[in-house]
Amino acid sequence: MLVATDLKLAYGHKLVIDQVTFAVPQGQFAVILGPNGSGKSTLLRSLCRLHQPQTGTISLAGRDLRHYSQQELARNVAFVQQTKSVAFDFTVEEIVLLGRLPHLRRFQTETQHDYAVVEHFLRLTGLWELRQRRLHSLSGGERQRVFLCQALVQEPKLLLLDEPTNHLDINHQLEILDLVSALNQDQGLTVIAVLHDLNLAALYAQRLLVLSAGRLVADGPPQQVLQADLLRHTYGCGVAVLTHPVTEQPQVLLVPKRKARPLDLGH
Amino acid sequence: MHERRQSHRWLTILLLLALLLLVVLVLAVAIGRVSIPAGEVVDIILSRVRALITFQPAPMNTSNEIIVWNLRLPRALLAAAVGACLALAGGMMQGLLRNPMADPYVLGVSAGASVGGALAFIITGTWGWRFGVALTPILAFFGAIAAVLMVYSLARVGGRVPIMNLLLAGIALNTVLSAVLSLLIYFTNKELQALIYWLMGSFTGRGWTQVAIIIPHLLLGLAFSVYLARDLNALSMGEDAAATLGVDVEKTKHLLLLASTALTAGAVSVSGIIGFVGLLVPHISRLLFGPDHRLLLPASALLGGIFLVGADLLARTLITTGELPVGIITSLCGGPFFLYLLRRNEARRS
Repeated sequence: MLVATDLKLAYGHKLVIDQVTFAVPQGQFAVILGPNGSGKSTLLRSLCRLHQPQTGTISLAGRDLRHYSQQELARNVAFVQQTKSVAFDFTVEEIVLLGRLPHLRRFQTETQHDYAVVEHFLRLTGLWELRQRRLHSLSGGERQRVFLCQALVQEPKLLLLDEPTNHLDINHQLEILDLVSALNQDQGLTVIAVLHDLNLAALYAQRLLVLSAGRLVADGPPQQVLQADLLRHTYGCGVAVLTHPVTEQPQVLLVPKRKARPLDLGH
Repeated sequence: MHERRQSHRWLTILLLLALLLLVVLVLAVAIGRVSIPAGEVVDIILSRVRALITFQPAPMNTSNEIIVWNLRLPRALLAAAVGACLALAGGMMQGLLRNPMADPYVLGVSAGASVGGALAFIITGTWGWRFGVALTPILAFFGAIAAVLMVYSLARVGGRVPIMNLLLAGIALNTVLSAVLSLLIYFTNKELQALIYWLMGSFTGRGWTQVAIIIPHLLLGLAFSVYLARDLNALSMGEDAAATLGVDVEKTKHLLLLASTALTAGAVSVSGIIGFVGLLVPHISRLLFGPDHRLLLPASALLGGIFLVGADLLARTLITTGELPVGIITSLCGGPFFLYLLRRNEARRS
């Protein structure tokens, strides 16, 4: 599906992505982890061409990403940004309908089919009843669903999410990731997400990619990647890794720095 | 099925606005120092148009005919076209900069156009029909483009253009350009009064010549607005979001800048600086008709026409001796409105 080879990306003299190589097969739910400033968002944004790597190539469905037209790319890849602001007071439906833009020729008006797709995803994301509301009148969780819905309406083959659970309470975090996970399982939608929360990542991802200072330091299933040593090394803080009593995935507990010593001794 | 209802709604709104514009135009032609019944106004216009279409030049018989066809109708049409141009330019700039406080006047684009136009005025000593081309609109366009580029690059910090920087850069540029204008006026001997009156923003003494200059600007602007309306909707989500929705962002921005500058330059070169139309009108249409640019831009154009024809009618009739420059009327309406927007913006942020 997506192959990134030897990516290198710098802002001025500052190297942000350094020799990153990975491939995400179709239908995978992959999560990119890493400390602040490790280049997670930059890497994700370069996958939808919002940043251009200085060297290395990214290919999507066997074709170099640079050879896609802007519209063609938007039919294949949808991106939900971390910070979203809408300048004017659009309704939920108007915003979601913009997701059909990549499928329309310039002067073409939306067809019956476009409206059917919009209705399908508005219902799926639980926004159908809210479709006439103005975005500014919605709660944070509802807003996040609007932007996810807009991305889904693009009917992409690859969905990129940049910290989709930011600023949401735990229930809304699960709601968003459950939805994405369902689409991934049922429709084979390929998902690459940047998450801060290691535990959420462990619960949903089939694969974790860990970045540190622009380099890929770990790549594999959660059981393999979420090791206390690796995390201590990457994040510079003490953690304990347990097994989730219900799902049996690894879960990470934080250990305050002042209490780290006795625990280390207990090893 | 609800998409059909939507386009019906849009068509109804635009037709109603067009009708309102027609009514205001007839009123503007009928009312004045000499009042002419609306029925006679319509009759005169229809008969002159018939004569034009059939290529049978009919002589003007009555003074009413001369007042209607040579004086008031071109003036009213010019006011409508200038209003439409300024409102379109404002709507495009607000969409482009994602901010309802952008407007060609506030950002100094009008001032840039007026410096260019004043130069043409001084070079040719008149309306600029020398060298077989209209020099005024051409120099006005270059003045406006220079102003846009200057404001934009002054306000730009690290790839972003914060609105406060943009407004401050606009103020700074307006100050500098008004000094340049004063300098130009200082060195002008002939045509001084005409130049000053032109700069004040007025439709006094304008005729079919100016209508002929502004119409191509308006048509071009309308064409661009139809072409770019949906991209403007995508841009409202932010530049990155627009790009991932398949919009060629850089190209779209350049076209928008070009179109709004050409519209402003056209308007300024025929009527001088008429402030705040580009701010007021798109904002009101957004409140009335919603933010979708496919409806917003054509509705703003019509509403801008209605607003400015009405303002010019007031300018002609408010005082009995002579007339006011219409720019004073629009600024009196627009200035307080701008302050209100600024206050509300601050209130929202805190």
